[in-house]
Amino acid sequence: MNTNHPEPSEEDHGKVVAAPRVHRLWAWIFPALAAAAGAWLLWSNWTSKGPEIQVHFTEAPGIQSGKTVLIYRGVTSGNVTGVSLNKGMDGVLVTIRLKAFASDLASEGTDFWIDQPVISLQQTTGLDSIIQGNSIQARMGAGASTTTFKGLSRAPLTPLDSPSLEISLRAPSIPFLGRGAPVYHKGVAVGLVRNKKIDKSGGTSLQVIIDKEHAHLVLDTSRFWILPATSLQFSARGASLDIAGLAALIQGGIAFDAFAPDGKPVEDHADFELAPQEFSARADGPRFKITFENAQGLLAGETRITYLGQPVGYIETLQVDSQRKLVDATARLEASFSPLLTSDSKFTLIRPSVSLRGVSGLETLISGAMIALESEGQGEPALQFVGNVGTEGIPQDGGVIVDVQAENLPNLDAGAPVYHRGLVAGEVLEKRMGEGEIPILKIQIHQEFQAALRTNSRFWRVAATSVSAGPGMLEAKIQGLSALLDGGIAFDAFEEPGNPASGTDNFQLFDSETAARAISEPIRIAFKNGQGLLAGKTALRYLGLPVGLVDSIRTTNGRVEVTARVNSGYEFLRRKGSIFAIVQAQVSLQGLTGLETILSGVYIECIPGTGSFTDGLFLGQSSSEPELLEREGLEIRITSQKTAIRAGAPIIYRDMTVGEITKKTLSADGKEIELTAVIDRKYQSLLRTNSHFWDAGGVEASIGFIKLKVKSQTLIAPDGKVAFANPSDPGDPVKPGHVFLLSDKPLK
Amino acid sequence: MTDATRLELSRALVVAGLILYVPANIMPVMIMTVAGEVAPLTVMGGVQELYDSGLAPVAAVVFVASIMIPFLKLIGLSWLMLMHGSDQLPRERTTLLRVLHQIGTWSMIDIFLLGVLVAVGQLGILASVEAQAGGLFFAAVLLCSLFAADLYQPRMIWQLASP
Repeated sequence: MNTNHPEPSEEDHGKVVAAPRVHRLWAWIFPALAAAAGAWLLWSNWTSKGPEIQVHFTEAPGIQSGKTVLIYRGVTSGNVTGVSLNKGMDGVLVTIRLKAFASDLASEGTDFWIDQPVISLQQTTGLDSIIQGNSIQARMGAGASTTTFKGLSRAPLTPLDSPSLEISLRAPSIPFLGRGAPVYHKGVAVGLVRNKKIDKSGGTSLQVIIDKEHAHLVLDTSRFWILPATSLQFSARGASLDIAGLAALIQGGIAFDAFAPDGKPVEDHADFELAPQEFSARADGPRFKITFENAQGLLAGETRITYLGQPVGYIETLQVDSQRKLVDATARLEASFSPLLTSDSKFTLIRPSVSLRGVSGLETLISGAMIALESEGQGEPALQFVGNVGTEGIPQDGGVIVDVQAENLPNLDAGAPVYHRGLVAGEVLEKRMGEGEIPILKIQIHQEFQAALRTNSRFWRVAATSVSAGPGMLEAKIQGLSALLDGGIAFDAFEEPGNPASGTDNFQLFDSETAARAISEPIRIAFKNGQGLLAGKTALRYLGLPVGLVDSIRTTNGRVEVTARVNSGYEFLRRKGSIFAIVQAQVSLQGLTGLETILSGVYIECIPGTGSFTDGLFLGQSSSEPELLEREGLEIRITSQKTAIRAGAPIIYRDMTVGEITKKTLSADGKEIELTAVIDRKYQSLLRTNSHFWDAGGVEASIGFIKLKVKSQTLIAPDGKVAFANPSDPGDPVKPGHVFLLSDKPLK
Repeated sequence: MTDATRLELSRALVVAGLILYVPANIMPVMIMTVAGEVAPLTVMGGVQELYDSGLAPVAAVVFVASIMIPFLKLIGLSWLMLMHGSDQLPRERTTLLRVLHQIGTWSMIDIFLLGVLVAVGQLGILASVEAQAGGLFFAAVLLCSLFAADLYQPRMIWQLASP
């Protein structure tokens, strides 16, 4: 430093010489650096600041000036610099200083929302804000730059990208779908329900956004339908449980597809209809009307229209016209089936019908009523139809309705089938009490069986289940499943068919077919003892076949008087001399007879007489020997002092049985035994006045001979047997009642 | 080092300190994250925070120590620099210089505290403290004033005041 100063003199030491400062300028590098640092700081601070924007929120929970940050795609893109209420006190004005790199956020269309934790069934978002505090989130818009925004009250569904396609779906009601519900196309989630709203006119609609990459799938022919959260469907194939994915499990979803071939992509904000189900979505043909007199079972939006058994459409709405007393159904078909709507189309409402005639439309029991469409596809196109209400296969009109009276109607009810020769010919329409406390069944006979119903037709009850037993048979009859439950009615004409019946004819209902068949005038028979006889049950038999029925039993004058009827064609039993005998089981030492009656009950064996027709009282017999009654032929008598021969013993002629002992009695004076014998008609010419009768079966006689004359017949014929032979010069033929002597020994 | 150089350097450092004082107070010295809440704190902000949380005495201490004293030190040094060469109040100026020198011993306490906070206050997600550029500036201010006070010797007051 001294070198730079002029050498100061000794005396001169008060003089200050200004030192040249050039050399010390380096010291000022510090303030220069400081200024530079400060300037850089200011500059960088200034340049890092983007524009200041203002966002209006309805509320701003947890937003703090100076602390809350704006986050865009997870990056802090700005700071809240001011929070204040707006002038109207109905909103919050949040001022945000954007960072420079995020200044593009200040453009129209940018959405701002407050990110707060949302925990719901559909989603859980914003959990980080629990720890970090609420933040403001942004989604980039693409408009011109602006500085005022309206904040969203909720986070948008697609926080990153703005949706490329937004459409609205109109529906009369939207039951459960809500924000966030997925939208599927062929099972792929392609969008979300953004909002659910009611417009000014009261219509509900869903705002749906479709992902950008799938927007082209929405065509103007697309049909949208609701996927139920969980659907449990019963069908003829059984029950099926459909769960369309876990998200849809809780909140349901929407599906769409284009069923028509040609479609163009839609513009933003396009309107679509939202169908309640897939099948209703498929039915996108023109609307048409079907008018029903009674639409019971129809459900708007549910009932399907089937064509050849396949669902092709559905009923959209139902409107009751109270003035015309009709129901107007608006229906739609799938577009491809629309050509079926012609003037010759027929619509028939099919409801489940579990009547006793059978079960029809069973599938509708599960699926609900449906409407069957029949169409040839010919005729003029039409959009207005009259629907029939029907059950399958049964003509609705036609046929004849008659009344049938009955004493009582234990288990017959409306719907019970009416059979004709095993075919269902009609049904019981109504069961009511007629005049005079007589129950009346109103019966409809279908058209094709109308001709079978004659004025003289007889109706009888078909028991639900009948068990009948006879010798060698036990038969259980079940008249089909429907009759099993309820029984039915059958009819037939057992005589020459009468005139066709009309609706005014009255009929009587009989308890059984046997009763119905017994159509003759009553035959009255008196019995000493009516044991085992049952009115309506005990049969009349001729030659073992049932030919009539005991109608009623009463006692008069100490006798049992039975009124019976015989079937058509057996009137000849009503002759003078006819024999009616009660046949019942006899178990005795002499044998077992009438064994079949143990099962079948007693019956009355009839043997026609030869006299004239009569309406008088017959005298019945109680017989244990039915064979007696059956024998026809020459009746003779054989007398003997003493014999072991009993009734039933055969009469032998040259080892041929030609007749039978039918009765063994003591003669009037008690001195001898009188056997009554019947010789078969065809053999009666063998019998002559000089015929010789002898006891041919005597066991004792046989034992006495060493020649072993024990004949096998003795075992077979315990009653013994009687033989006869004629001498070489036969006498005259005998007349009935001729008396022979029974000899011990054969004719020599 | 000649007195002239000392003087020049001292002046330059005072000027630099004054410049740096501005960003040191504007910029946050640290960012505290407590329970998710991010709080960038300037020195003045810290005082405010303390005061708001009812710690007025502490706020006062921090205010005096961190804001007033550095500021007054810079002002005092600036005054000394301006008065250099004058023969007025040499005694008082000498006392002031000594006082400023003494204070300088404690002046780095803020920075020390900041260092401790940053080191200690790392509680993961619950709380964390990060030093920010403001602290650097603040330290720079303190260093400037420290060196300026040290370079300017009391004798330099007297040398020129009594030729």
